[in-house]
Amino acid sequence: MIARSWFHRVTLYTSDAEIFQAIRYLECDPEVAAERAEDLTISVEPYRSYYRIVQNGEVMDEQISAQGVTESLHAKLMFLSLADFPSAPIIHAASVRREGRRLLLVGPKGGGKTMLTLHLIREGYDFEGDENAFVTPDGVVPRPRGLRVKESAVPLLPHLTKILDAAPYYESLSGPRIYNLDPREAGASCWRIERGRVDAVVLLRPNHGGSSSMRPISSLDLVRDVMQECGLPETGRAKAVGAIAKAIGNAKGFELSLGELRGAVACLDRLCEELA
Amino acid sequence: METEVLVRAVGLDVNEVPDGYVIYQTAADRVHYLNKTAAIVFELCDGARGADDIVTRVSQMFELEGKADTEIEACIQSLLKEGLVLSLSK
Repeated sequence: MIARSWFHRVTLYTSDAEIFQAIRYLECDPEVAAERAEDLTISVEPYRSYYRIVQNGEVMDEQISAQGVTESLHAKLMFLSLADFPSAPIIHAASVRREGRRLLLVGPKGGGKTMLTLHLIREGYDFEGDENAFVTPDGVVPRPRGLRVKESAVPLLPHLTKILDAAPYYESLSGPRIYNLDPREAGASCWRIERGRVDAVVLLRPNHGGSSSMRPISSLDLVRDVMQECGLPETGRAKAVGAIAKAIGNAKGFELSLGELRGAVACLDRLCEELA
Repeated sequence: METEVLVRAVGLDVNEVPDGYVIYQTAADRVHYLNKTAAIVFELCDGARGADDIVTRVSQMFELEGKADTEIEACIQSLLKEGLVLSLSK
């Protein structure tokens, strides 16, 4: 199976059925419009009483459990992504496109990015990512990763029940099950990730149980709020802030009070019509 | 005769956005957000003017006839307090 970062294409192998099921949680194979891609091979094999993770012939880690293997590989993939853009800030944002226009949906964990994104996919929006976007001087780069759907959200997605039943998942000892969902399984006609400009940034304000409404905000407020959902690199922070000001400050900014999803989609449909 | 003038601090990375400035202050590792008026005040801190002169100019620029002098002075004090501008004797 394949997992991706922007500049890395990782092929994961295992002969162990339990591990295969566990690491399918990391499967992610979009079309990535990267300038280049380095191939990596990682295999996971039983070795004595544990599993051994081997990257390009070298032992990378040894883990006892299938869950430990998944966590180790998850961290490895995150590091690869961060290494792709070591000086770029990373925003907590989903990225969708409509007729070539890119919208970033910015919000904290649990802020409704994935639920809204799933509904947008159903309405014909193109999906890029639902969690992170790097901000580079040449535009934003959504981080390749499948949709992560929490078990608690499944009853709210009746059209995906069967698909999620068959989807790989991660289950921590204390937490709920989290599914890895390929957007094409969720109705997207394709899954292509490009580097490019942002046309609009929408700040998500959860309004659970209420209605949805959207209003424009100033570029200054937009940058300030996006900075709250942004990780800056350890060095080169001045350039990182400059990249955010350029990419986000020049996009149209909105605040979406996110209540019922049909209304939220209607707000974004109107926005896309304006952008067109 | 010595006069006090205001000058923009060094070590600032100034980024213009449509509604003002986003400024990264290296020494403090802080980001500051200046609205359009504050950005104009900041620009006027060019080492040639004192605070009173800047208040007068901004007031004239926006045809405020002195009605917002207190707010403009507060803005200057805020820029000084945050270390974005410095007061120098000339």
